[in-house]
Amino acid sequence: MRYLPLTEAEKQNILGLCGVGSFQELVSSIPEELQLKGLLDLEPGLSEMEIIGRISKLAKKNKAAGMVSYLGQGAYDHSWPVVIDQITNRGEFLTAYTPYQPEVAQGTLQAIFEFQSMIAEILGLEVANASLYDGSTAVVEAVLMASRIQAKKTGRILVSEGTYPHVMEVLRTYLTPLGISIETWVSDPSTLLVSASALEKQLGGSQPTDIIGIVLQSPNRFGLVEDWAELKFASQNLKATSIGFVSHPHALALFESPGEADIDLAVSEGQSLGIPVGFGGPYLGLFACRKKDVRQMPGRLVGLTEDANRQRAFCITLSTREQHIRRERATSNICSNQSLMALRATVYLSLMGREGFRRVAELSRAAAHYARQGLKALLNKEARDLVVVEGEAFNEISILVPSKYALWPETLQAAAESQNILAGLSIDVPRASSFVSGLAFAFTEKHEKKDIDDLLRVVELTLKKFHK
Amino acid sequence: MGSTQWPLRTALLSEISREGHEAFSLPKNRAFPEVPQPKKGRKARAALPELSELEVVRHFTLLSQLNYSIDGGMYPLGSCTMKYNPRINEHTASMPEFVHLHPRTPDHLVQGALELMYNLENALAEISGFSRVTLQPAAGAQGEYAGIRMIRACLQARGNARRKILIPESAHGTNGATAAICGYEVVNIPAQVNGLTNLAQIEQLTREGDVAGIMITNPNTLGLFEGDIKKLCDLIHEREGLVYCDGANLNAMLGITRPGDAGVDVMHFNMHKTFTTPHGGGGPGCGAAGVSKTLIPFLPYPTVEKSPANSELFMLDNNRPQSIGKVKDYFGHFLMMVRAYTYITELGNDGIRKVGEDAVLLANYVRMRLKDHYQIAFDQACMHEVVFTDKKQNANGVKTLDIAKRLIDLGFHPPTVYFPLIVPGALMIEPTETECLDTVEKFCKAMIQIAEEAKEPDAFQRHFANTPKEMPYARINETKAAKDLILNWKDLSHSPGGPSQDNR
Repeated sequence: MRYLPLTEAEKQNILGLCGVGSFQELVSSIPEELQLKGLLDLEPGLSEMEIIGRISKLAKKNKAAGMVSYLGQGAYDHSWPVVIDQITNRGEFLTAYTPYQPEVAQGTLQAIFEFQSMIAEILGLEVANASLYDGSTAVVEAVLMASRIQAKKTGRILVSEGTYPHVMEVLRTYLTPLGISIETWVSDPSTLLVSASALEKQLGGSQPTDIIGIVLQSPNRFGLVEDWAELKFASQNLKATSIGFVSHPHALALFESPGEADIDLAVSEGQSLGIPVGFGGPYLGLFACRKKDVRQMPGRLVGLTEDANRQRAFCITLSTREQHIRRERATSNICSNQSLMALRATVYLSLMGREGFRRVAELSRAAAHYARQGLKALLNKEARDLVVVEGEAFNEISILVPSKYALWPETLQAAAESQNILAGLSIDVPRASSFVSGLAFAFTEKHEKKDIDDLLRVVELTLKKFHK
Repeated sequence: MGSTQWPLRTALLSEISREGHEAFSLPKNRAFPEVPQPKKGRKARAALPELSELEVVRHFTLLSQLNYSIDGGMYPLGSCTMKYNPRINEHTASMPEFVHLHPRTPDHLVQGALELMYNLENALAEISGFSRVTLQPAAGAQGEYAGIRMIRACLQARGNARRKILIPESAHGTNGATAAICGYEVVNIPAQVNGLTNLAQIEQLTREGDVAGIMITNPNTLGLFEGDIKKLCDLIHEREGLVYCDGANLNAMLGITRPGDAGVDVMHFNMHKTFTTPHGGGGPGCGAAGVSKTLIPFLPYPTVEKSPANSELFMLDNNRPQSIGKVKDYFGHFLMMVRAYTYITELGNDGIRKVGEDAVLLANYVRMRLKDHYQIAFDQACMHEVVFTDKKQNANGVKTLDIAKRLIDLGFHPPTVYFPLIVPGALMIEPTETECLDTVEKFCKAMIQIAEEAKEPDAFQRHFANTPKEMPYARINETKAAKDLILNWKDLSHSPGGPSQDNR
C-alpha cells in the first residue's frame, strides 16, 4: 500500500522491541469484547486508475455541470485566474500545519497578514481576522461578539427581513440554547428595504433596552443594496451593536462599505473571491471590527513582529482569546479555520488588484441590469402582473410572483433545464407582501449578452405557453 | 527542510505595488448598456495592490518557501495526525463536475454528489460503529458543537436539557469552549495518576441528575485507551445522560475498535486528521459527527436519503422536525468530502486496519526509543501517540520550548508542546503511519541528540539559546506582536500606492 510503508519485518521488530508477541498484545488495553475480530464491512481497496474511474463516473452523474447557471442567493459562480490553483496546490501551503511555530511558518503567516489587510480594506474597518467558516457562522460570531461588547448575555437581536433564510436558520441553531431571541426587522413590502423609522414604528415607539445587536444584510435576498445609514441610525437609537452582513464582497467595489458608514462589525461570505461554488464548500467567512474591540473578536489573528535578529516577521497574536488557552471562557470554540481558502482570496485579490476587483463587479452588475431591462420589457408585454424588483441592485435581479402565476416559476425552470439553463432560485417574499413568491437570477462576469438573450427567450416562451 | 535559497526578508504586497500594474484578464467589451453610478457609492476605492502576474506568482512562491510542510518533512505533532495528503485527493476534488456545482441546484441534477455523500456517510458509520453520520460540520470544533447540541436537544425532548457537562482536564480546549456555547456549565474532572478516567469519581459527580453528559477523548490525549469506556457509557446512560467522544484520535482505532460499539452516543471526525484532507496551514477542516440510534432524530438537516419512490435516486431531506437545525451553510465542506471519500476508497477494509496498526506500532517505537532519554508521562504501551516531559532536561535549565526550537534546527517540526495541560512541560509525539520507519528513527536520533546536549554543563547557552539558528528566521518575538498589535498594512501606516483620494 503506497501510503503505508511499514513492512511485516519492521512490524515484527517493533513488537519485539516492545516485548510483546503480537499486535493484539500491544493493544491489550482495549478490552477483548471491543476489539474487532474481522475486517470492516467495506470493499477492498482500489488502485488509482480504478478510483479515478469510479469517481469520474459519480462526477458525470451531476447533470448540472456545464449548464449555464443563474443560481445565486449567497454562492456565485465567478471566474478565477488559474494562477490561484497553481499557488494553492503548492505542497508548502497545502500541507502546512496551523502556524503555531512561527519560525517555520512565515509563508502562511505573512499571507494571512496580507489577507487581513485586504479584507479590512474592503469591509472598511480597522481589523479583520484570519477567517471563519462561512458567511452564516460569521454572522453568528458577530452576534456573540455583540453580546460580549454589550455585556448582555441574553436579550434580543433584530435581523433584517431581506437576510437569506439559510443565515437565519444557522442563527436560530446557535442562539436558541443561549437565550438570545431573534426578531425580524421588517422590510417595506413595496421597496423591499428596511428603514430605521419603520423599525421605530415596529417596536411601537418604545425604547427597549434588551436589544443586543442589529443585523442588516446587503445586498439583500431580493438583490437590492440596503442603506447602512439605516442600520447605523437604528442601532444608535437602541444602543445596540450594528452588524453589517455583506452578502457579496464584490458589491463593495462599487457601493459604500459598512466601515465607511461607521458600522461596528462587518461580516461577509468571501466565496466569490476566487473560491469555487463546489456544491457548498469550503467557503470563507470574513470578519472585521474596530481596533478597540479586538480583544472580543473570535478566531485567529496574525500580527507583525520581529525575530531575534530584528528581521520583520509574523506570528499568531492575542491567542489568549482562543479556545486552546482560554478553554470554556474563549471568545469562540473555533480552531481550524479556512486558511487555504483565505490564501485563495489573498491570491485572487493580489491578481485582480484595485482595478480588476472593480471591473468584475461592474461586469456582473452590467449583466444583471441588462437582464433586468430585458425582463421588464418582456413582462410589460406578456405578463403585467409579474413584477421585476426595482431599486439599487448589484448582481442579482428578482421577479415577484402573484398567486395567479404561482406555478409559472416551476414551468420556467423545467423548460430552461431542457435548454441547459438553470433559471434562478425561488425566494420568499416579505410577510406583508401581496405576492406569493419570488424568483431571483444571479449574474457574474461569466454571462455574455447572448446567454442572457437565451434566458429571456425561455422566459418569453414559458409565459406564452402559460397563458394558453 | 529542503535546499531552497531562503529569501532573507519578503516584501509585502503593499510594498511592491505600483500604480498601473495589472495581473487580471477580463473581457474588455461585453456591449452591455451603461449602468448609472450607484447612488451611495464607495467613497474611496478599496486600496488593493497593483501588480503584474509574475510579481504575484513570485511573491507567493517565495512565501511558500518559508513554510515547513508535510511534503517537506515529518510533523510529529501529537493529536494533530499530520499524515501524508495523497495527491489523488486533489485530483478528484478538482473534477469540474464537482467544482462548478451550485449548492442550491435541484437534487435530480446533482445525483453524483449526493451519492458520494451517501456513500461517505455509510463508510464512516461502518468505520466508527455509529448508526448515522452528519457531514455538515465545517471542522472538528463544529462537529463537537453539533454533537453537544444534539445531546441537548435529546435531553430537552425528554423534558430537561440539564445544566452541566463533565470534561476531563486532559481534554482539547475546544471541548470546554463548545460546551459553553451550547449553554452548559463545564465541570472539570481532575486527571488520575494513571492518566485514565476515574469511574468512581464520575459516579459521584452524576448523582444529582443535573449532568447532561461527558465529553471524553479516546484514546485520551496521553495516547492511552480508556479501557473502561463501555462501563463509563453504561454509567452515564444509567444516569440518563449521554456520552460524547472527541474523535481527534480516531486514527488509533481504525479497523481495531469502534467507539459506537462501546456505547458512545456521538463522536466527531476530523477529516483533515484521520482521512487525509489537507491541513492547508490551518484549515479548512471537515468535521462530521457519528451518532447512535438515540440521536438520529436530532441530526442537522438536510440529510441525504435514498428516494422512497426509487432507490436508485438520492435526495436531500429537509423535513426533520426534531433536528437541531443547520450548523452552517449548505451541506458542509463538500470538496473535502470528495477527498476523504477518495482516500477511504483507496484504503479499503484491509488498508484501514493497516492504518490503525501502523500508527500504533510507530508510536510505540518512538516510546521505546526515547523513554530512556526523556521522562515518559505514563509508562505503558501507548496507542497512536506518546507523551514525554522535560523533567530530566529542565533540571539542567533546558525546557520543552527549547527542545522544540532546537529540533527545528535539526530539520524537524516540533511535537505538540505543553499539551495536555495536566503534564508539566509535555512533549506529545505522534509519528503517523505514513512515515517510513527510517524517518521515524531519524527523528528519534535527533531527539536523543538533544537529550544528550541538554546534559552538558552550560547546556542552555551552548545549544539552546537563540534557537533556531539554521532557519531564515530566528526565534520570533510573540510578546512584541501582542504589545504592538500591528494587524495589517494600515497599522504600518502604508497602503498600496498610498491612500486613494479617488472619489468615483
